[in-house]
Amino acid sequence: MNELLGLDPDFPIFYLIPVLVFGPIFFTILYQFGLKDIINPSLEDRQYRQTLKQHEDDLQNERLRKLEASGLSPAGLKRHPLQWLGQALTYIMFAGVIVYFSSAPSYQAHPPDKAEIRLSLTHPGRHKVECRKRTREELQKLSANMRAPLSCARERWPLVVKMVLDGKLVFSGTAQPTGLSNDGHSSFYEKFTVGEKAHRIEVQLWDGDGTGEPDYVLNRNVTLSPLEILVIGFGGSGQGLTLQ
Amino acid sequence: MTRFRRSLQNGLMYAEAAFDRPFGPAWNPLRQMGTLTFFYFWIVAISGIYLYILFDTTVGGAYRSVEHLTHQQWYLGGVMRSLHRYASDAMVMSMALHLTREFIFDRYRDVRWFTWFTGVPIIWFLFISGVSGYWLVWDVLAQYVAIGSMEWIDWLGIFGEPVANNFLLPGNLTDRFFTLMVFMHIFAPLFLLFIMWIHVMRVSQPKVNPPRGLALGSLAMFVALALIWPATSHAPADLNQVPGDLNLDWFYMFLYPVFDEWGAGPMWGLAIGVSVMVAAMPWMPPLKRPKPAQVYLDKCNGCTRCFEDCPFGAITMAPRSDGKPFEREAVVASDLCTSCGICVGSCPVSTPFRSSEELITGIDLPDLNLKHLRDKTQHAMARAGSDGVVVFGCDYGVDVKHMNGDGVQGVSMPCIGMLPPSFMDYALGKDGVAGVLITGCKECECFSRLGNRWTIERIAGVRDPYLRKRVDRRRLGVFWASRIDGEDLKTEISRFKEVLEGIGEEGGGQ
Repeated sequence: MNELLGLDPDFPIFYLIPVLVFGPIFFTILYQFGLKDIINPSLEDRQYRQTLKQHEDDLQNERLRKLEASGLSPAGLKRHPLQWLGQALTYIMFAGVIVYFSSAPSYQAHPPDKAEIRLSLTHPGRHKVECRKRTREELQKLSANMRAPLSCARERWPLVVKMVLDGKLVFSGTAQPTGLSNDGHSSFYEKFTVGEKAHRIEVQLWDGDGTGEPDYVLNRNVTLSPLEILVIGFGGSGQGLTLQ
Repeated sequence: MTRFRRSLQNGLMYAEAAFDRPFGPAWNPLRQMGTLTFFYFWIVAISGIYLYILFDTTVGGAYRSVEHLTHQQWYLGGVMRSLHRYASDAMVMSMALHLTREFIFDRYRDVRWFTWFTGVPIIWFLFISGVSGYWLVWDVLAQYVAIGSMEWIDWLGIFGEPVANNFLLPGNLTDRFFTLMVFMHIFAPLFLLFIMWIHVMRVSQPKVNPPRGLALGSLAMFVALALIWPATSHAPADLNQVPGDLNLDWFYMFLYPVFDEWGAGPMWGLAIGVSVMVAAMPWMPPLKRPKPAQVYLDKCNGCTRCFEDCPFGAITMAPRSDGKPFEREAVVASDLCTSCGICVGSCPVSTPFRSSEELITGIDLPDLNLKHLRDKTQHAMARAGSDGVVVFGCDYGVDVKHMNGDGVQGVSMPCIGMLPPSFMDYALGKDGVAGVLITGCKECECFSRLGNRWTIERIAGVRDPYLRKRVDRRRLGVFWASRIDGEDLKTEISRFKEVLEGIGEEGGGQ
């Protein structure tokens, strides 16, 4: 069947079923929206246009006749083959502008001899207040369905990240937790354009109050090729900071 | 500002006159940018439906299916793809030219604010539609544009996790997310169409289809372009590599290099700032307009002609409120009325033949009422003399007062559509002048949209109120001329006078 229709052999032919069902519906909508005026104007419209055209032609002929009768040149009133040529040239110019700017001039989005490091990590900070075990009295005061043994505040610490590249601090930032109660993840998304050579990358991440030693550290030597992308991320399941 | 705008208008009129030479006024593409934008939309929609039928909506299959369409099925799939791309690009161009033209001709303030204002979301949705289409090819360009777009959206911080992370590594981009992108490319154009409908909703008798000749010419151009210069893809997307050298579609992607340079924050500032500024333009400053049309119920029989002819939908028909034995009466919505006077021209009571001192019609302009118009006409007739010509013109075409002298007298009004046909009859009547020349904005350029058309149809006898058959058509001339065509109008008047002399001699001979 695919071969018969000139389709790729791997193309799932059953994809056509919704198209065959909804296609005519969509076309009907388009038709009602205005296509019918182009494809199939009503008899009334056609007659209306014919009457108008007839009148315009009569007016034009009458004018030409009068001008000729009065000895004046009717030049410029009739269509000339040069007008068709002018139209063709206009279309060519318009097409030229469209085709040129649809793909030119070319743009160098990234230096061809440079690589890119993306610091893209998403991780929740620790809760600002540690969970506390409720006392028996406190639990008694709560309704039966609300008696969770731990009382946890929702708010989390923001993440703090420092990134050092070849001994130079290139990024230092803080990401606030998302959510109205500041209880969601914190995310970083940064891009660095670097030369295609060996680099020393050091990343430090604090997910607590931001003091003391970092909670996560990554120290790695990498060698990058031109246009290569290296992603510094955060892996779950205790992976910590990762390079991909 | 007025002087600046006037010089822009003159420049545009010269450009339009240049296009008039090959195309003629009715097919002049500069005057059809709005209708062409609609037409290009239909080309994009129909070609898009075909492409969608054969498009594989998975990450792995998208590029392959597009390449198959482009190369193996070049005669149909490839042509459709090129039509889809080039018509989309042309849409940006025609939309930009349409917007610029309306700004230059000052057709965006006052009652036209709604149409202008709703044009702003059209710009947004057109760009969303176009850019989201480029994602689906899933080549290197798609990778660049998709990541750039997501980074731009991420700056807003409305998503818990950056959306750009979906494009971080090859495994991150799922078929489900890719299908979401496909749906974006379907829903954005549907919203675009919806807003385009709203855009013309308040316009009475909106013109959304270009002349057939222009439509066929444009379609032929796109097909030729598709065959000679088919649209192609870049290399397939590779999320392990940064996109380097790209052939951007500058119609849709001109802001991406700016984004690379400035970053997301300033880009949002630019996009929102420009949008707000453009949307607020109708009130910077608001247009000062004359008093709106007024209905005189004593003379209104609810015939609905003014309701049908008003180009701005400013007249509605309401149940009769004065107890007269008519079903309805005309009601003017003053906030929609441009005081063009077309309603005065359409009212069957607007006749100068009545001898009553207080010439009152069913609907009239307070600043230039029918009596005042008749006074001006009588004055012009007296000064032109029985061998002379009265030129009826509009305030936006050639200033007909500059034609005064040598048996020629001009009478100007807000729009030529304000002139009831009975005035032509009156001016050519027993004590009238030898000829009447009707002029006004160039064809398809009427400032009040439909003034020229209604005038021609009334003269032709295809629209009420008709010009009486008894009027000698040889003594009635019609010549549309924009403000820069003063010399052409003078030449036309000279020719017309020669024709009139010929008629006079014929009459004398008989």
